[in-house]
Amino acid sequence: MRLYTNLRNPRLLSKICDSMAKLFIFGIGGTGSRVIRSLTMLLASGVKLANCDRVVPIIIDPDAHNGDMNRTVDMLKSYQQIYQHLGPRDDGFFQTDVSTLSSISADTNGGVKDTFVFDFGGINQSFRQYLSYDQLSVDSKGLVELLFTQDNLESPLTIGFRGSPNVGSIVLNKVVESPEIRFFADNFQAGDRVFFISSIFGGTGAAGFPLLLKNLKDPNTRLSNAGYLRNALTGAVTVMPYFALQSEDNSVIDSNSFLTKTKAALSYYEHNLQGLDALYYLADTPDTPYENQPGGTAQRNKAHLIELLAALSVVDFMQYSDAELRNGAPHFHEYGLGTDTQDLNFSHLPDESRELIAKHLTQLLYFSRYHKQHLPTDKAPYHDNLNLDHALRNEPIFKELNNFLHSPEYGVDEWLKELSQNRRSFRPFDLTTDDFNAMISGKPVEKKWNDFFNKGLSQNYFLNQLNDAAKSIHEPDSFRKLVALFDQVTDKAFEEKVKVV
Amino acid sequence: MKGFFRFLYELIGTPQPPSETPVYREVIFPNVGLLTIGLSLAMVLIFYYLINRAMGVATFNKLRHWVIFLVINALLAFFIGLWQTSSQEVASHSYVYWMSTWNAILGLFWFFLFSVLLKRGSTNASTTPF
Repeated sequence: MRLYTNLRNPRLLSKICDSMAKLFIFGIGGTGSRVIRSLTMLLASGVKLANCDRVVPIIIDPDAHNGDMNRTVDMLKSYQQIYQHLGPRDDGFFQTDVSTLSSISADTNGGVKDTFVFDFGGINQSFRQYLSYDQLSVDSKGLVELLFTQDNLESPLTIGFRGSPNVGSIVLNKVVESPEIRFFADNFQAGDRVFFISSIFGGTGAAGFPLLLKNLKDPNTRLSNAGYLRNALTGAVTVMPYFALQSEDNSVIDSNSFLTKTKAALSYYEHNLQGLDALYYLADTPDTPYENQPGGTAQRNKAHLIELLAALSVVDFMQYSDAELRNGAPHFHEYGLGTDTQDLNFSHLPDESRELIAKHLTQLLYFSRYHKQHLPTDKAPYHDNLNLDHALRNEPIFKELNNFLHSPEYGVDEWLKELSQNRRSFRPFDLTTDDFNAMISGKPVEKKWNDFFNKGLSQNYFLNQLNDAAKSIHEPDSFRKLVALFDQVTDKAFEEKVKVV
Repeated sequence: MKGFFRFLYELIGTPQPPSETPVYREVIFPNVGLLTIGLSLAMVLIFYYLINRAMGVATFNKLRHWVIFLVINALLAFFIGLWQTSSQEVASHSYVYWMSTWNAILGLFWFFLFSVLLKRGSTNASTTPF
C-alpha cells in the first residue's frame, strides 16, 4: 500500500534538501491550525521536508480567540525558540527551520507583525456592519439578501464565519490586499513553494483556499513577483468531513450539512482551481460527534488521525521534484489505510507512512518520556556534564523544551493522548506504561531470558547510552548537546532494540 | 622499594616486638604494600571499568556504591595485614593489629588515588566520587 496513490521515483524519498527554498504554508481555519499542529509535531520528531530549508506557516483565521489556533501558535512559538537555539543541522529533533513571515526578511514598512497568524486587525462587527449594509442601494440590498441569510448578516465576525463560506469569501478578500500578503509576495523567490491546508466543509477554509489560490495565481495581480508566484509549485490538502458535531437546536453549525457543502465546493473546485500542481483529498467517516462550538476559545478539538495524515501530505508534496510536479499537473492524491479499523497503531498504516513516521515518533516519545520520568532526578556523568541541575531550573530554553514536550495545552504528550482518545483513534503507543519495552503498541521489545544483563530498554540502558554519548559529542552548549544526546541515544535504542515496527 | 614501604609503614612507629623488625622491613612491609596497592587497583578497575563500562551497568555509580567498594577495599587491606604477619609467623603483638589498621587506612588512600586517576575512563562513573 502506497502513501498516496501516485507514481514517483522512490530515490527521491531520501533526497535531502539542498536548496535555499522556502515553503509557505497557508493554514486556513480551524482545520488549518490543527494540521499545522500535527505537522509541527512531525518536524519536531525529525521528519524531513525535502526541497526546502525553511517553513513559513501562515495561519488565516479571523477567529482570534479560536482555541485550536491559539495553542497551535503557542506551540509554533515554542518550536521556533528551540530551533533558533539549536541552529541548522542535517538531521535530528527540531531540524527544520520554522519561521514567522516577518522573520524571513526585514520589514521596512513595519506593517507585518512577528507572528504566525494573519492579522485581521480585530473584526469587531457583524457581517451586516462589515458590508455597510445600511448604506447600500435598494438593488444591492436585494442582492445581499439573496446571497446571505439574516443569520449570516447578523453573525459576529469575531468568531469567524461559523461554517458559512459565502460569508468567508467576502471577508477574506481583504487578505489579498493586506500588508502580510504584500510582504509575502515581495519576498517570494524562484524555487519557493506554496501549500494550502483547509477543510472543505466549514466556513473559513472552504472559502479561503480557492480565494487565496485565485488571487495568488491571478495574471493581473498587483502583487510583486507575480511571475514567481504564478509559476510557484503549489499544493493543497483539502479535508472533507471527518468529524460530526453534536446536534443542537439553536446552533448555527449543523454537521448534517457537511456533505452537501462538500459536494457544492467540490463541484466548484472541479472547474475553478487554476494553478494547482497537487491536490490531496482526505476524509473519514465521523464517529463520536464533537461538542458543537462555532468558534472562540471553546473550539478546541482533540487531535485527529486525519490531521496527521494531512500533515503527511505536506511531507509528500515536498518530496516530489519540480519536474515531477510539473509533469502532468495537477496531480490528485487520496489516501487509504492498510486496514479499516477504529483503533489504529503503526501496523495499520501503509508501509510508506510507517517508514516515514514510526521511527521518528518513537524517538520523540522516548525523548519525552525519559525527559519527564528520569531526567530531573538522574545522577549520572551526562547530567553533571550538562550541568542539568542548574539548567533545568534556571535556563529559559530548557523550560521551553519542557513546555514543548509536556505542556497540557499543546505539548507532545497531550497531542499523542488526544490522537489516542479521538475516534478513529491513533494509538501507536501505550501511554499508560512507564516501561520503555512496552511503549510501542503491539511491538514489545524482546528481552533475552538467558541474558541477565539485557533488560531491553531499561533506564539503565538509556543512562549507559547517554553517558557514553556525552563523551563522544563535543558540543559546548549544554542545550544543543542535550538534544543531540537524545537524538543519538533514541536512534540507537530504536535501531538496536526495536528494529522495525 | 623496600625503603619506600619501610617509610610508609613506620609512620605509625617501628615494628613490635623489636626482634621482628628485620622480617617486617624485609618481607612483610613490601608484601603488604604491594598486595594492598594491587588490591586497590583491582577494586578500582572493577568499579570503574568492569561494572561501569564493560558491563554497561549505569545504576551502580553513585557515591554510596563507590563507598561500598572503598570500605570493602579497606577491610581486605586489613586482612592482608593479618594474613601476611600470620604467614611469616611473627611474634604475637598488638602491633599486628595496629599495622593492619594502618594498612586499611592506606588502602583507603590507594583506592581514592586510583579513583581520581582512572575515573575519567569510565562511562557511567566518571564523576564518582566527585
